[in-house]
Amino acid sequence: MPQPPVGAPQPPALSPPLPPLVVSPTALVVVDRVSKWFGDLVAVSDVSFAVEPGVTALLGPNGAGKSTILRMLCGLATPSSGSVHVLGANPRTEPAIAAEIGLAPQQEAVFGFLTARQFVRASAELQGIENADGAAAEVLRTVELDPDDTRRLPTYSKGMRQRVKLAQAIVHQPRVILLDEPLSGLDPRQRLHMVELFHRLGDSGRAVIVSSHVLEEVERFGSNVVVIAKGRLAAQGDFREIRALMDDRPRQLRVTSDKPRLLASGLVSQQNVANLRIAEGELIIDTDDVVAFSRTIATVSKQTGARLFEVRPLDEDLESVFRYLVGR
Amino acid sequence: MTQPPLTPPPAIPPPGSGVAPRRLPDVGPMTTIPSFYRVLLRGQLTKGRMVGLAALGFVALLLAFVGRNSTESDAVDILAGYGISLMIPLAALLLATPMIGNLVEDRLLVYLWLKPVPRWHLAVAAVAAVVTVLVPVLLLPLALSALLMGLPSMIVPVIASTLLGSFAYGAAFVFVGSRFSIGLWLGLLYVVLWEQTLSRLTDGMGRLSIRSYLASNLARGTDVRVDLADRSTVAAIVVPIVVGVVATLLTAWTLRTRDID
Repeated sequence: MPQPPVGAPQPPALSPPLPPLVVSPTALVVVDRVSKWFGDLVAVSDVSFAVEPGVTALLGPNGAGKSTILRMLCGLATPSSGSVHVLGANPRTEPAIAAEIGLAPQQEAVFGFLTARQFVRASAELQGIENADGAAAEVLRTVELDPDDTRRLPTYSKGMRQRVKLAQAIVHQPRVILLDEPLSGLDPRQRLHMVELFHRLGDSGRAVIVSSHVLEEVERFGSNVVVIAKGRLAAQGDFREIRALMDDRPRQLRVTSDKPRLLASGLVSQQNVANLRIAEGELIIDTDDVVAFSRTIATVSKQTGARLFEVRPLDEDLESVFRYLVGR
Repeated sequence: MTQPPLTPPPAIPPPGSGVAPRRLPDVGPMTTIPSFYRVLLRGQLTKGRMVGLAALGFVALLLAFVGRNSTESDAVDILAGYGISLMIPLAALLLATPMIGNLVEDRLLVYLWLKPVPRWHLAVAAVAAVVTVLVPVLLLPLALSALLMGLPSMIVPVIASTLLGSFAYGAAFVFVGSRFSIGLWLGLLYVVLWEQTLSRLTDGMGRLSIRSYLASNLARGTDVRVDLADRSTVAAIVVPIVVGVVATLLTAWTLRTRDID
């Protein structure tokens, strides 16, 4: 087994140690303590999860390691340690399992000299589909593209190219479908249609793993979520639990008022105020419960006669949410 | 728009069982190699490369035109010195190194790699696509040059050298391009430094030069002494074929072992 490079940052130790991965008999994809490093860079560190049929969202900020995980899931990259199994097979050493895997990669590059139909047909042929041309036409219709369009792929819009990539990924009806940022470049109507298609694929017994750096898409994709941050598994499970974690996390708020000191004196003893300071005439407040705090500040403001001008969260950016999920 | 129904997949085996997930499609080499070949062939026919190849051919014809009234010795020198030593390896370098190398660079290889197909199918298709373009592009100007210089006896040796050279250099440079991101420069270094210079120093080094085997084939058509043409008939034919086969296998091995972006 390859060892981490000498002098390279070691994968951070998790505390407490990871429990053994419990895999259900219906899991189609099993990732077991997988790490991947490139020279000194640790891209993925000790990640374990299993994927059942249905839609699973692989969420994380840009550079979190999502694409590397997807590449290992389809055998394009070898894990530096740990193992990946798709339907019980190692996708790296058993090319035959590619018949069960469909990948729509993140990169926009396409074969510039092919039409959409030629591109998808070539994919179908290489998957051993008998009527490759018919299958290509059908799947292009499924993603709302015209199979008789004779334009070459570079003339397509970004959204159309995304759908062509999806078409080539599903033309052979694989059981594991890996989609790397598939909604990027799509307009809202197309996004809606694509998400609906992902769910249809998931409902038909396939495992559809959709990566996204947009955390707010968690609810769109359905119930299963795997959150990756800094190459580590930050959270996994039902999206409602992840959503609750996101909502319940400590927040920092900036409060602007005409009487900041008076307002501060009223807030300082409140239970849901963890920390409070005044900076340049504004209150900076840390709270564990933003919903309860919104009620508290309204009450205190009324009691003290301080007028509220603005209550604004300071850490709503996705990075801070992911940081919280990692550091939990 | 009507949505085609999605077929429910068959029953799922337990993870880790190693059992084939379903009856896999019959994707034999007779299906996959032509599919790979079509995509790869079209991909390499860029305007820049075609202009480069045409320029190499034009120079061959120009040299033949200039030397049309020269002695047999000078004419053979032109065929061997430019045609065999430079034109064939440079044309192969131009076409073969980007064959898989550009797919890696453009991040397109994934579309061909992630298929239930042994990697050697892709390697064979790549070499076949290179040879398909190289042979006519090289053979036409070299054969015309031989005729223009009054060397009809050289036509068969020129054909043999071109076929063998296209395969050996083509396969070697497909491998170099697939293995190294600076494949083009490494190939150029090999042609200029090894084939042109070092191979002349000792017989042992000459034996490690593809050029010496092609020159030996060319020498069968003339009594004139050809530089580096010291190999036996059998070696002159077998060695380039072995080089091509080994390079194709190395390309397949590279595709099997390297990470694909």
